[in-house]
Amino acid sequence: MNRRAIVAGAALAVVVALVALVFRGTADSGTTSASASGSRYTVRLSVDDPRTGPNSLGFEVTDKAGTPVAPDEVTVEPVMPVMGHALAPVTANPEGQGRFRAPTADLPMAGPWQITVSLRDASGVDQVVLPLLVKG
Amino acid sequence: MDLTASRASVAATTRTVPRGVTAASFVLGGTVLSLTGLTWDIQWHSDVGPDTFFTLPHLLLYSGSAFSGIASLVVVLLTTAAQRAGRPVDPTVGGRAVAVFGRTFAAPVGYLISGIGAASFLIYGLWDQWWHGLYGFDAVIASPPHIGLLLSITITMVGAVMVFAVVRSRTWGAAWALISLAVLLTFSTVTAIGLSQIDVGNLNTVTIGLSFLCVLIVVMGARLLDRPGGALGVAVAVAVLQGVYWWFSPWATRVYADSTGLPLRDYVVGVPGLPALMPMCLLLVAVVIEGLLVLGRRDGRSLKVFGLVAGAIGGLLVAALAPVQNNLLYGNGFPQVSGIVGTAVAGLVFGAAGGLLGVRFGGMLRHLAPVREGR
Amino acid sequence: MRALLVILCVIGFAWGGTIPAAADGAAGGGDIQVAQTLGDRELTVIIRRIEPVPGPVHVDVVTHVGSPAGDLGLRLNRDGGTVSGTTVRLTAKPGFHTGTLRVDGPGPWELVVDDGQRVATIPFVVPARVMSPPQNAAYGGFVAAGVLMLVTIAVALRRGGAASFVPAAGVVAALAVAVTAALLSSSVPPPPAPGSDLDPSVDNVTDPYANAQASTVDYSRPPVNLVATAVDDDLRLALTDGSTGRPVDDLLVHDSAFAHLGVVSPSGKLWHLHPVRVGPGDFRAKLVAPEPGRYAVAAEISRRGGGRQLLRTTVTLAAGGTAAPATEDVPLDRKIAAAGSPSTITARFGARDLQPWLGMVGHLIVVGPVTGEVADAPVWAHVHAMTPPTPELPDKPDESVAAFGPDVPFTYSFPLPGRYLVWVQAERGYAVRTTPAVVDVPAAGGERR
Repeated sequence: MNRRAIVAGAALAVVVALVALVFRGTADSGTTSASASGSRYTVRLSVDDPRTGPNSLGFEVTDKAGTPVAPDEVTVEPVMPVMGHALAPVTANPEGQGRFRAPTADLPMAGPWQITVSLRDASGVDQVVLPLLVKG
Repeated sequence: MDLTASRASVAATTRTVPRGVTAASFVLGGTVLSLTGLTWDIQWHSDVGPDTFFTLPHLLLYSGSAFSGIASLVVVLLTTAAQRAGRPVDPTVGGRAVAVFGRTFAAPVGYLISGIGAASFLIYGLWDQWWHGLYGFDAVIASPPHIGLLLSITITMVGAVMVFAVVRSRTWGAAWALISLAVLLTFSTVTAIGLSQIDVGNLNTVTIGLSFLCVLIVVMGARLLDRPGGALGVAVAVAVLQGVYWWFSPWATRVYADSTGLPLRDYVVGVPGLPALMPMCLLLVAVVIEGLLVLGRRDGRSLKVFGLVAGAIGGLLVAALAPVQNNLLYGNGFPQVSGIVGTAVAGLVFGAAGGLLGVRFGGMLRHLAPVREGR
Repeated sequence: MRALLVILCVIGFAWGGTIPAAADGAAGGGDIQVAQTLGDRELTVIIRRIEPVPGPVHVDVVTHVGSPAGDLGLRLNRDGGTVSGTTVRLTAKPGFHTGTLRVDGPGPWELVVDDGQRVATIPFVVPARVMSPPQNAAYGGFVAAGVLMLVTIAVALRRGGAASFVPAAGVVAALAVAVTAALLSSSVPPPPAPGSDLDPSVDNVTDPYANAQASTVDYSRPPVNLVATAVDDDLRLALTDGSTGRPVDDLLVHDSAFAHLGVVSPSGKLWHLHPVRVGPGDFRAKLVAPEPGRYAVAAEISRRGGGRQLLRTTVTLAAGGTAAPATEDVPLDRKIAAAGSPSTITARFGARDLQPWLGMVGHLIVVGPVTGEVADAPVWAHVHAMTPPTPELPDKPDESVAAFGPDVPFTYSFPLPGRYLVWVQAERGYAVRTTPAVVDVPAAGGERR
């Protein structure tokens, strides 16, 4: 009898867990990422838990074929479009393998931001614009 | 599955009869809710259109199954609890304990089936949601998950029929058994739409399926009661449902569209979808079947012969008169003669099979009950 | 049995109060119509409703009278790479030309329209079929109820007794969740729309509810600076953000175009063009000036986040050709009131065969009062005559419907007294008919200038 109750309770728990799994709404994964392509480069932006204040923005730069490449200079220009507020560009530090990082990019407000990434190399400047949602 | 009634003992007390009525009427009420939701939903799609999960017709469909399911569940629980406590189980509640897979369970089989039907309906909703996620909300009525949902409700309705079949010795029981058969028949016309996916030349598979189902269920009614009035009772109840929904579904659709601010389409024909699909000749078919039953009894023919003959004639009538009804309602003429004849012949064949099965199923329903009747 | 009654009554009561149904059938998005002045062609590009995703995308290209025959390349780009492409053969006969492309997922996409000389890009959003959290809760609740119902029956059959009441309670709880969610669903506000409110990304298109609560309430963006220059045969519009100076790359399609460009020559000739996007903040339309001088330029745009704006500037052009836009002489019925009061100009087209152009039966462009150069006129207006609503069609009728008119009325309150140049425009037989006129508006108080 008790065993039965336990079995039934366990079954109930399994069902609830399954349903919760299937219908899991919107759990925060923590890391926000976005990618976009310009005329020569594809950039993937990833930010751990974007919050107001200084954020560490990581970039993976590849060519159109997906091979990691490192342009001469990568600068980051955050803009809060709704507010009409642009910030001074920061230069991202190369970390090798096409990885760049702007360790303390200031995003002083919660809401949707546009991160413009300028990639400069011998043949000019390629630009991509990435959306980033910053939480309060 | 082997369904065998265990030994009967008539121990119905005055107290338990209303109890049986309450639970049974909730099961039937749930199926009627589902049916109403369905006829409304069909009308909504043809007259207004936009579909999300959260329309009132859909909620009716789902709640209907929830109603039936909970009612069945409560009866199953109470019965098993009573059985364990050693109290006598009222045999007029959903039929006696049955042996399933060689083991006897203390559960009323009618409620067991209606409960499983309701549960499977609710579970099919998941598949349906996934399907709509893949193909969008413009999916057709004959999609696999829809057919699964429809069949699940059909199972619940079969459960309701069984629940009432066991109390057919009482007048109210017999009447409600016939009404639940009528609900089953009305609902099955929608399931028959799924047959339109089968392409057999110029034969109308939906009509053929309808003749089979109509004959099957009407003959079941005749055999279940085993006295005059069974077939006719089902047909009359179907006609009443048809009449009510003829008025209800366009009205409810209009009112609901008004309340949500959605416009009706401008090509609304004014002929309600589901009621127009139901054969109007069913009363005639029932009279023929009643007559054949009386004749058969007088001449001492076997039930098998009655089923075959009544089914064949009924199937032929339904299949042959369907184009007439369509032309009468929609006025868009007749299909090819070869198609009409072919469909009628197929209706005759499938009707005969339906009649035979109806006799058998009717007999099975009679077996469920611990009831001794006058004859 | 009383418990059963109570439970069922509660459920019945719960949805007894009629629900304001949320029948938002257009969740999958509608057609996207974009007018494009691509070289010598004035095209209407219609991206038909995309469903299912992944799936085919039907694109209609509508040509107009005088549009040369030729091949038009259509490509669908995602993330800078081409996913599918096709070529539509345009005939000299105006009308619909169809191409079928393919999308492989929801998110921001670009339709590239390439006539061999110019390449226009049309950014658009392929919506995902999204389940709202209440919808998921309702489905989940019903499914859980179904599963638990089976569990209850199984437990009751095998053992019975108190154990079976645990899953039975679960059934009731699951149903309560489902019904509550279904009831509440209609009052849950929709999340901000990627594309029209937010910069679209694959993430926010696929799951717009994820960060719905973290977003701002006012999505409108700063005004835009317009600089017009002549580049080869094209008029180039450079759009920059009024606050940051960055290129504006978030124009929304409104009234079937990204930008409605009106250009008026010194002698009063009107071009109504729809510049194509060739890059971020870079829009171009072919315009060969028939006369030198200062041209009045006005562009109507709408940025992401909402709100339309009228951008006005002038550009000095050198004569490069002789072709001026064709005009017609449709009779106009004028009821001109004093400045500040509504005046009505009714164009009498004579037959009920007008086609909607840019979603409207007619357009009236007003420039004035003209005292010196046209380019210095203080007032610029663009008046619409709507298509009558067709309730059963969620989308506006496209140009294949030639059933409007014959009279097209425009009512406008001229703000200042004086002499205005007006142009009535409507489409018939896949040609935009432009009727120019001069209107003298008296000053208020009966004093006529």
